[in-house]
Amino acid sequence: MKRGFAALMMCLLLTGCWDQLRLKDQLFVDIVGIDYVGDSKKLKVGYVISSLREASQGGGKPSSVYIEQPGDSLYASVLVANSSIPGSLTVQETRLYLIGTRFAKDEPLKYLDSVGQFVSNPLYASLAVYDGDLSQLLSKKRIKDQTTSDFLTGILASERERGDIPTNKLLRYILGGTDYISDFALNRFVPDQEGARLAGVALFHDGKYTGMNLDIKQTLLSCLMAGTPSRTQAITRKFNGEEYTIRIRNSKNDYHAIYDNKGLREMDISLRLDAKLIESGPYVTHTTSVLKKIEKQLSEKLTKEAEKIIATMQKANCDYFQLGHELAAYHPNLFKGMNWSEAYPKLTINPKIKVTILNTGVLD
Amino acid sequence: METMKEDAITGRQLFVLIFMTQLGLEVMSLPHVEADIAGHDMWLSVFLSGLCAQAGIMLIWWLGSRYPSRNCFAYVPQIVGRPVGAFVNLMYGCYYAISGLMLILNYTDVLNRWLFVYTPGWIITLMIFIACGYAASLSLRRIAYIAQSYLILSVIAILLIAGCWLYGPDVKNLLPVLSGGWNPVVKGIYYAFSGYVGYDLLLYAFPYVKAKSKNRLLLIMTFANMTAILYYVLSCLICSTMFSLKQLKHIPEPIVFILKYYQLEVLQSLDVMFLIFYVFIVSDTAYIYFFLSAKAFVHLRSKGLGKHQIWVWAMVGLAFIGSLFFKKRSTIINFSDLQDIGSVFMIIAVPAVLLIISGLRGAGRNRA
Amino acid sequence: MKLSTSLKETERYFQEQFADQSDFRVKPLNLDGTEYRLFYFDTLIDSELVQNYVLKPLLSRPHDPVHDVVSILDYTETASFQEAVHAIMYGKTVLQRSGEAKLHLLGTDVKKERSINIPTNERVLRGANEAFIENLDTNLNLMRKLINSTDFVVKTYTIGRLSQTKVAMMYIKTIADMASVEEVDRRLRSIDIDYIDAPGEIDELIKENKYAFFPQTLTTERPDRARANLMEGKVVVATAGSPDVVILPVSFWSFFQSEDDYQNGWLLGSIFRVLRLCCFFIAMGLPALYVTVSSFNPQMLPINFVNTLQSSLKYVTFPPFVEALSMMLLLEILREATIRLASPVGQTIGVVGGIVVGTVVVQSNLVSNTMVITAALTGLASFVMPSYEMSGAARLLSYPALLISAVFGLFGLAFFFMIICTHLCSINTLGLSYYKPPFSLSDAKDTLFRAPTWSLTKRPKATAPSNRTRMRNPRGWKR
Repeated sequence: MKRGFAALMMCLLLTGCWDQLRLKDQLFVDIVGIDYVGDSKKLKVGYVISSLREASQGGGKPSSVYIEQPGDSLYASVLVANSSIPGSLTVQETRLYLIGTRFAKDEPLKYLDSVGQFVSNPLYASLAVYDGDLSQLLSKKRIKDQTTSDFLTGILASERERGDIPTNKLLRYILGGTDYISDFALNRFVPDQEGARLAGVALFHDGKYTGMNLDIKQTLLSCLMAGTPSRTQAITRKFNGEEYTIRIRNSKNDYHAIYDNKGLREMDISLRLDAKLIESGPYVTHTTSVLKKIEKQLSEKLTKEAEKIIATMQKANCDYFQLGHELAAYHPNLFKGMNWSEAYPKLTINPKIKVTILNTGVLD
Repeated sequence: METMKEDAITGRQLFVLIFMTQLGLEVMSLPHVEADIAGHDMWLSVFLSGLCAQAGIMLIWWLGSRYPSRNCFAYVPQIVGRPVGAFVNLMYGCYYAISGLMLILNYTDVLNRWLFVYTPGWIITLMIFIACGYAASLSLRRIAYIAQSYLILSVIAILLIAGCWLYGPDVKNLLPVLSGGWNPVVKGIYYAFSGYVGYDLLLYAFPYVKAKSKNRLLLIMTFANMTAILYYVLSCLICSTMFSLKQLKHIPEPIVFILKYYQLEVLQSLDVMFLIFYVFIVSDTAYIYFFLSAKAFVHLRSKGLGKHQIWVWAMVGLAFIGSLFFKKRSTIINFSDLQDIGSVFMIIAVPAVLLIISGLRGAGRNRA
Repeated sequence: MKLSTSLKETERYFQEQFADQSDFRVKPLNLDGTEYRLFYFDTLIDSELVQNYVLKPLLSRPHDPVHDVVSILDYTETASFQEAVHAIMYGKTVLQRSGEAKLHLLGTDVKKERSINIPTNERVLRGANEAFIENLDTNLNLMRKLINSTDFVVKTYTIGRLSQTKVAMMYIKTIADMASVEEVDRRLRSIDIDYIDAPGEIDELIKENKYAFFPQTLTTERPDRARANLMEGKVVVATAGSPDVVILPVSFWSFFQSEDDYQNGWLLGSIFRVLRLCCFFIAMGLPALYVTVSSFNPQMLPINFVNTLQSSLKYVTFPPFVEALSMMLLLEILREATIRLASPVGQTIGVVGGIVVGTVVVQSNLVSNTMVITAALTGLASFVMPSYEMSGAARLLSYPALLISAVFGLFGLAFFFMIICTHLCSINTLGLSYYKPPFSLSDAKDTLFRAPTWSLTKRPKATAPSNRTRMRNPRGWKR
């Protein structure tokens, strides 16, 4: 009896020790915003903390708190921030890391590497760029009747679901990155009248923001060219004064290197899109010839756009398609002799997009 | 004979035992270790290393089939004579106890770094030691039952790992094959071999398996080894397609990182679950080591020396006291490296020498 | 002392033996010159029987031999006082005629028993609706009626130095493993105790692992369940005075089998079987899991979930561990109260416990919503198991699970399950393994799930039956 009691007491005392945490006191940081303070190299880290209020009897109101803390590194900032609010900040549930453009242009990944050190940090969080005043955005309580964090992560989640934007999970970029060449494109938010909106992707070269962007239409096309599987992406284009919309049912991309004994001559990017035509200007019966014509015009239009995308990427020297990796994997000897980051901007890259219309939806 | 009945296992049980003993912490750390050596050809190294283990299995099987009615610790004195035999058994006893200790220490180290940052390591170690001691004090058949019960967890583990492929692998990471030539791959074989250690359970288990024939027993062993190879190769392939080489070099347990990808409607961060239920797989290997260690000590004298249970708890106790001396991670790693050399010696070199001596003696006897 | 022809001597002997027994009666009779003495316990005999079948015939033919006259089936003669004393204690009437050096033992005991009722503790939807009662003879009768075979063997023992309780062991000699039968026989014989309280004491006195957490004998009040187990080669032990029989050797899996599994289709049966197994784990580990998730690894849940959990805990003073412990204790108190309370009051307890405590506790911020759900689910899950003993074991084990996971989180829980699994593997019943992982299809057939009847052609290996063939071609009509 005595022993049992002692054991029970010991356990009661021990609880609250070691690795136990009090859920009540946890401040779950939903968004981490990182930028430089003014023109200095000091980090300005903002934390959006999400919680649910008055839910002990069911229901509840989601709410968020924003705190901001400058510091020389992420850790330094977190440690100071902890003393400014009761409870303890935790990144266990962080869904989004938002970085400012000035910070992105420097060495964002160097700082972000330390995120990998955070114990029990789910690294499924996304990484995105915000082209505006970060603290102004994050300190907003609500955007369009949602908490800021729900709003921003919600946009990313639903767009990702549709396959319109790159996935951008943090895990891919830190600690050396998944990709062979540290060139990538991050989703980019821009200020909007009420809050923010997604405005395509920001192009990165060698882990640094180049300052060049693709708009939202180009983002979708570049995603498809990079091999995003078809989900429910829709492409709308205007030609001959009419709007045409297709929904992608199947897409297949392919890279092809053309070379001779002098070296690499050019690279081809081919993209085959099997689609459903859901809008095609005024109603006409879609005979085979009509469809053929639409297919051809759409293919031409998209190819032209792809050329523009590639031109922008080459200008930014951002090998988003990882053509370098393609070359290194399949033609290692060819790649060895090249200085890829120098060769890439000058490389001839030929995109070729072919649209095939499978059907015209429920209407003929 | 009572132990004969209690230790008797079926072919299926042997398969599970061997497979579960071969699985160890290496699933987590192998991609990291191999990234430095074999690069993205690690899967090849791991595969070839498995074939080496297969050679080791053949060796032990050959040795065992010369003495089909007794276990290794019982026939060693017959091969090399009483005093040397006792010494060999002593060596095996110490080797297995140290293997168990190192495995548990390494796992505790992983836990302490990933999950239980503030919980003192010795408490975790103690708990695993208690669980292992309890299990190791049972008979071989019952140990096989435990292994069979835990097998489902290793299946779940590989499914979880394989499920990461949904999050976009990059096959290009594997190409080009053999970019650095065969040299790094061959070098990697040695480092991958530690993953396959455990098939040496056959040294003890050989006479207790109720297999139809010797050849069938070898088939079962091969099957178990192949499953282990598949397991390791798959986890290496997944790691190297999901991570860049740079990341693999940074992250000591890439598998844990990979599981952080998971984000389901109601469950996420499966790495926590994975790390925790890996204790079943680790302890399974560890208690078989302690079991073997105790058996080796019992066979120090041909009549039997002391009781199995007492030896198990003595070795567990000693190992626990030993574990208290390991504070720094680098010490553990260095010692593990030594133990790896030891295991190659103990499960390849020693059986080979025994086989040769026994062959010579057999030949001599035949002539005389 | 030797029996003499003198009635006086006999009477003196019995008077000495039953000196302080006020219900002991001696009835002297003088019928047509022949002296008779009747010795009996007033409270044990059926006076009508004695009147009609002993006294009346004697009156009409007082000089004929007693066994010809008395019309009672249960008739024996003895010359031993010892035996006569026992017989009187069992409710027989002892008759002696003067001049004869023997005693006539007449079975006139009154049969006071309740009628056969429907099972109250092991309910099933489909299946027989009779349960064992306290009378051993009736119970044996029930079993004999279910198995009309000469292979069905009943062996009786008398256990209890004072109580002299009759215990019967049943088995089917062509199926049961004779080694197990002999072992049970040996163990039953060696019980030396003043009285036996079945089934609990039988179980405790003959099981191997004294300190095992799990029940090693199956207790049932259903004859059909007893029959099903007999047919698998098990031994059934029934005790006079107890409406429950004890079945052994049983494996872990037997505790999850219910008669219903075999009445509803095999698919449904399998699903319910798996459900019961899941409930076993829920009953053991759910409170512990709640504690670990809420106080160690909230990162396993998505943020919306965590926020809800956090907010339900926001104003609760106690840490999750205390919360969980108190709710589990509350559950136990409710359960105990419902058993003990008089049945009319029992109804109200459900209302009081379930609604009042449940809601008010949450409203007053003593316990969080989530914990109430957890506790309710745990409680329900524990009662899903068809065996009360197993459900008790699961509930008992949930406390150490809770304690250890409150200190070590998920690792503690894993450690707990490791120990439990090892413990299960280490248990022996009658030299057989108690727990065997169902690794091959033939092992899993009637353990993890319930395979179709026509595929269960072999009896399960777990009890090592001497004859494993159960059926050859059960669907012989289909050629």
